[in-house]
Amino acid sequence: MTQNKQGALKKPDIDWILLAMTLFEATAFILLALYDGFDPVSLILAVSVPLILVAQVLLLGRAFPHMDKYILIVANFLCGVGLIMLYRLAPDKALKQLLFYGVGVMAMVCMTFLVARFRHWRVLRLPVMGVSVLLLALTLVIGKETYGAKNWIDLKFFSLQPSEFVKVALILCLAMDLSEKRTIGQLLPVGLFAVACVGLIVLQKDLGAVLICFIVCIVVYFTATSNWLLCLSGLLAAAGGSVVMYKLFPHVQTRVAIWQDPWATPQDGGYQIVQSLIAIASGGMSGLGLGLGSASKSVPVVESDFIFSAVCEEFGIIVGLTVIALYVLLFIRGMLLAMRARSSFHALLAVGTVTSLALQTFMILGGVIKMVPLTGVTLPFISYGGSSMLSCMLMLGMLQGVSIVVGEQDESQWRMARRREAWQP
Amino acid sequence: MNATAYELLSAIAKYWFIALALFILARMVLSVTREIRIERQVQAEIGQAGTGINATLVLLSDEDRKIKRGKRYAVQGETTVGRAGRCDVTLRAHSLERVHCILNMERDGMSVVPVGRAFVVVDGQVVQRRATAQEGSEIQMGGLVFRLCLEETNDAE
Repeated sequence: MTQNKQGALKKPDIDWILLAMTLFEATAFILLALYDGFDPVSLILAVSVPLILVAQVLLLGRAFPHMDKYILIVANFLCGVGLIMLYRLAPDKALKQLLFYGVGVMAMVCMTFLVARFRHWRVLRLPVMGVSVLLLALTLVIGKETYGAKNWIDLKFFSLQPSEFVKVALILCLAMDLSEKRTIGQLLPVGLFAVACVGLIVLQKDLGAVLICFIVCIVVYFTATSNWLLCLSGLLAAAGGSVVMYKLFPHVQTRVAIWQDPWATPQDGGYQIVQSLIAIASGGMSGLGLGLGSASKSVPVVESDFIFSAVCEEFGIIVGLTVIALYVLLFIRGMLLAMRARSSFHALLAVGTVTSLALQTFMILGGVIKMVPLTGVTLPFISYGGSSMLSCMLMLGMLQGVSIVVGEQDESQWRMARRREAWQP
Repeated sequence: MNATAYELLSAIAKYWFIALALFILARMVLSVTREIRIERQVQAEIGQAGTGINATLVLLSDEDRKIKRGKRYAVQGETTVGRAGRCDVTLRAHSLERVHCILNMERDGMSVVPVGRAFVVVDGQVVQRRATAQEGSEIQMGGLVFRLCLEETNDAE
C-alpha cells in the first residue's frame, strides 16, 4: 500500500514524532536525576523507558507491518508521561510501575497475536466467562475495602483489581457472541454474563467500573443490532438505577455533594478536589517546572486517580491539553479501525475497547477538574496501578490485532483491485 | 546540585517540554490526517474496481464422505485451503495437508498453487508448481474434488 496511480505515495513516517517523544522522556528523567542530589536510577530510566518505546515500534513494526503505529506510540508515550510523573511523586512506585509496564507490553503482544491470528475464539468463551464471574465473586468474599468500594483482592506481593480484567473479558465475550448470534435464546448466555458482571460489581460498590461495563454493553449491543428501543430502555433503566444507588449508598451521596460544592468542606470531604483544583491553577499555562510543584504533598492519591492534576501543575495546562488531545487521537484511530473492519467480530471488539477507554478517561479527567462527580477509576496508561496498566495494555493489544486483520484484508483487496484495473481496457 | 540551580534549570526545561509536546501533537495530527486520506483512497480504489468476478468452489465428491456434496466455498482474493484453522477455507479431511494450496484470482482464471508436496490435480493434470483453472474446471485436492464456478458481477461495492 505504498504506491498509487500517480506514483509514489509513501505512508507518512513517524520518525520525527518518535524522536520528540524519546527526547521528552529522556530529558525529563535526566532532569529528575539532578533533583535533590544525584540519582543514578533516574538515569537508567532515562535510557530504558525511551528504549522500550523505540524497540516496540521497530520490532513489532517489522513483525506486524499492518499494526497501527500511531496508536502504539501514543499509548506508549502516555505510559512514559505516567512513569515520569510517578518517579517525581513516588520513586518506589514508579519502579513497580515500570515492571507492570514491561509485563503490560508482553500482554499486549500476546493479545495482538491472539486477535490477529487465532480463529477459535469459541473455545475461550465459556472459560473466560467462568473465570471472570468467579474472580468477581471471590472479591466479594475475600476482598479488601478501599475508599468505600470493596474491589481489591490482596495477594501478598501485590493487589489485584478483578473488575479491570472483567472489562476486557466482557468486551471479548460481547463481541464474540453478538457478531454471530441474533435470537434471544442464543444471546442468553452472554446477556446473563453481562448482568452477572454488572450486578457483582454493584455489590462491590465500585460504581465507576459499573458505569463503564454498563455503557460498554449498551454501546456494543447497539452497534451490533441497531436496536433503538432496547438501548433506550437500557439507558432509562440505568438512569433509574443510578437514582436508586444514590439513595442506597451513602458514599455516592457524599461524592455528589462534594462535586456540587467542594469548597463547603475544603478541609474534609472536598479536600481532594479542592487541592487538585489549586494544584492545576497554581501550575498555570506553562506549569511550575518538573519537581517544583507541591501536589505530591497536598493531593491525596495523587499517583493514581489524581495524576492528571500533578501533570498540569508541573508541566502546565498546555501539556495537559496535549495529553488529552493525544487520547482523543487514539480514540479516533480506534473508531476508524472499527469502521474499516469487514468482520463484525473485529468491528465490535474495536468499538467496545474504544468506548471503555474513552469513557474511563472522560470520567477521571472530568472528576479531577470537577466537571462530573468523582468516580474512582484510573487514567488509562498514565495512572499508577498494575491491574489498570495490564487491562489497558490488553485493550491496546485488541486494537492492534484488529488493525492487523483490517490492514491485511485491505491490502489483499487493494492488490486485487489494482490487478483487475490493469486487465480492463 | 543546589536547590536554586535546580529551580532555574527546571523553569527553563518546562518550555522545552511544552515545545516538544506541541511538536508531537502537531506532527501527530498531520500524520494521522494524511494516513486517513490514504486509507480513504485505498477504500475508493477497492470500491471502484468492484468485486469483479465471484469465484466459488463446489464440492463434487469427498473420499471420506464426511463433507456434504455440493457444498460451496467462496474464493476471495488470495485464499488458502487446508486442514489448519488458520486457512481461509478450512476442510477437515485427512487427505489434505495443513495448508494444502493457495488459490488466487488472476487475469486468465484462478491460479492454483500447491503448498510443498501437496497433491493437487487440475483437469486431469497433476500440478507441480502452478496451474490455472477456468470456469467448470475440475480441481482435486487430496481426496476432495471440486468444480470451479466463475460469475461476473458488476456491482461497484
